[in-house]
Amino acid sequence: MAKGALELKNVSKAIGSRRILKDVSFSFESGRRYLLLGANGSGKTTLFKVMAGLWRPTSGAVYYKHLNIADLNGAYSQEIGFLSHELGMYEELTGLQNLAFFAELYGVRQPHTRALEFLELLGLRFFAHEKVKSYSRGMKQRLAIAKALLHGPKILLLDEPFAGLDLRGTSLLMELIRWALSSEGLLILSSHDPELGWQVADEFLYLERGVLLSHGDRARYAEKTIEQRLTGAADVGVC
Amino acid sequence: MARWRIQQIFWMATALLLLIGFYLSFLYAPRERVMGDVQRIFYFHMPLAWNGFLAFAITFVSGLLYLRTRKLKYDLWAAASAEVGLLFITLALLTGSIWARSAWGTYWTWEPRLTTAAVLWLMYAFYLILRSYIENREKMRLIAAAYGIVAFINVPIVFMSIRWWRTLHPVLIEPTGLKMETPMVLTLVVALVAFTMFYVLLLAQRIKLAQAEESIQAMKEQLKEA
Amino acid sequence: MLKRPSSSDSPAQRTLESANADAARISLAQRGLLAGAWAILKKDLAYELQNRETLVVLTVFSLVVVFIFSFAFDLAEAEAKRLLPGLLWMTILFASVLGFSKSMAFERRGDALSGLLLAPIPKEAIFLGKVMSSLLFLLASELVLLPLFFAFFSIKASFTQMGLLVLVLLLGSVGLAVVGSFLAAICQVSRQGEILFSLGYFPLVIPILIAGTTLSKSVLETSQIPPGPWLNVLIAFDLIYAVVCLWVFEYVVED
Repeated sequence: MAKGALELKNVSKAIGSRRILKDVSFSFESGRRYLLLGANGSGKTTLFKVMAGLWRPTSGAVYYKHLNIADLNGAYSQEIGFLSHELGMYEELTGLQNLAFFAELYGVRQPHTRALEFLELLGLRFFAHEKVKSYSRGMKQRLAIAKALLHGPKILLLDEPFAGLDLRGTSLLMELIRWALSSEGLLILSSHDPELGWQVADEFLYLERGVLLSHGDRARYAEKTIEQRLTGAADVGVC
Repeated sequence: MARWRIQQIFWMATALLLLIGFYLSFLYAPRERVMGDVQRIFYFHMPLAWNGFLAFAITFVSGLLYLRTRKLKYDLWAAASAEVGLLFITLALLTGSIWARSAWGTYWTWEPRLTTAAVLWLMYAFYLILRSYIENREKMRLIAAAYGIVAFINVPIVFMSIRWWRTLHPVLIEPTGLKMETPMVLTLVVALVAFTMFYVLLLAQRIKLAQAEESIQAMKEQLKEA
Repeated sequence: MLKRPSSSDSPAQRTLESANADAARISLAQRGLLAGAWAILKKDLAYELQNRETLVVLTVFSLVVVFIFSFAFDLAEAEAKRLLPGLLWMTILFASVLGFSKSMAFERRGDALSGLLLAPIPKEAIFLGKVMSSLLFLLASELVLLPLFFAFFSIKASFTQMGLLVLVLLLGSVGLAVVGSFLAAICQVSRQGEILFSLGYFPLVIPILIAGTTLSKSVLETSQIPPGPWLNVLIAFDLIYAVVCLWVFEYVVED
């Protein structure tokens, strides 16, 4: 499975009459790390939710190893680790309870031990028995990262993983990302700070108003003046 | 233009039939011997109740179709039918209790059909409240369809429960069996057809309105995007 | 592995590697309906055992209701037996509304549902887990409620009567848990979920209220299940709603 581990074929998503993604096609290769870029409201989060299988596309489909993920259900869920804007955990439970619970859902053997290991890994060991609602923003983000990695996913979808993290958290996450994926793993992340993203990514995808306008490596990123587009310096121009 | 013609003809036919229905029930149908003129309310009550029930059945079927196909029109049908149905059931309950006051000496009795109608009213009032309380439109449509299904299958269970329940209680007031003479049956049939056509008409108008609302919403979104 | 850092034997890496190895082994094993439901039930129970919030609230609520009823009615035993079934079921209904409201708030904060939907378990497992846990809380609160009612209204009941009453309560509670969990999942989507829930809940459970009171009354008066279809009404209600709600649940949680 060298080529096209995860494939988007003409994916469109409308919410109500608003078209958020417009005919997005792309083939993600395993073993590579992709940086998803775009202004606020360009459809990044929607694309993540569609790729995670949480939202079904209005038309088109997402394929994992040439199979439509809509038909894969649990088998696909097992393969992905998704970090979203929503915490996706119980605020009334402790960090440890949450991780152990989700580890169990993912069929991890010895969920309790694994949960503790991951809390340790993300520097939350000291807060293991505190309720999540008492966590700070950055701690919640660390916990969510732990939950995404817990079951050893082959595809990591990280929507704004650096949000709320302090400098130590950021460098820890960088390290984790580099370690977490085996050679066939696939990483797709978004970041409002492209420089941060480029520290791990090999390739970029640029979304504008739901359209995939451009993609390629770092050189192409410079060539297409994506950064200027993101900062609003370059107003128009065709890719 | 053919479509418009048909609509116009349907409008006129309904109006005409309703007028005939009024004439038949107030003037043509004979005065009922025991209850007197109050019995005439039956020619309105029964068609209203029947159409109310029909409307909710259509909400149920449209909900099923919406879950199957995800076509917006089925959701609009379901919502429109629930609204019209609620109106009809309300009127049926009102006319029913006027009838009950005169026939059984009380405005309200736990008669199975009456009680089922009341439960229907509560369930479909909730259906409409639910629709207006959920902000995410797409999610609301799915949820409304699911609730419409769950609510409708409750109807036979409620009806049977109340029927059995009543048989255990002392029955103080027995609904007097109507001795229906031929003119009465004729009046009832005409009224039933007229009100069913009236229901179809209201439903069609409500759906048209809903479609207009949806396209306005779509235009707003497009403007926002541009 | 790409770009592996040189310090290759850190504890972090070992943790991640064992996670990877583990995943490879079990990813083929489909997570079953029951395994998922069981995990959800266990999580709810663990929380409850630690905090005892729901049970405390339901117990205090039952006490308040029993107090107020016994002041308000001041009944002789014969009258009490006649009124008790209705009061009992009313109290259970209101208590269950409290329980479901609490459980909705618990699920909504932090948007836990999105985490559950992401997990490799069938969607039905989420519903089944919630039904089982709410049924358990409901039965536990009835366990508190029943003796209180008997004590405050000074009603004597034989073992047969108690046994039959427990059966009726059990069957009724299954229906309440099924319909309540379904409606809670629906109402949770709205910000005013708790208000919505109490509006929608009562009309849907009217058959349970009728069958439950009729059965309880007959049990207390004649110590037997009355002739007629009442037990079947409860069983049919439970079965029909279990099947239908399980079926439509996946649409309700879909985005």
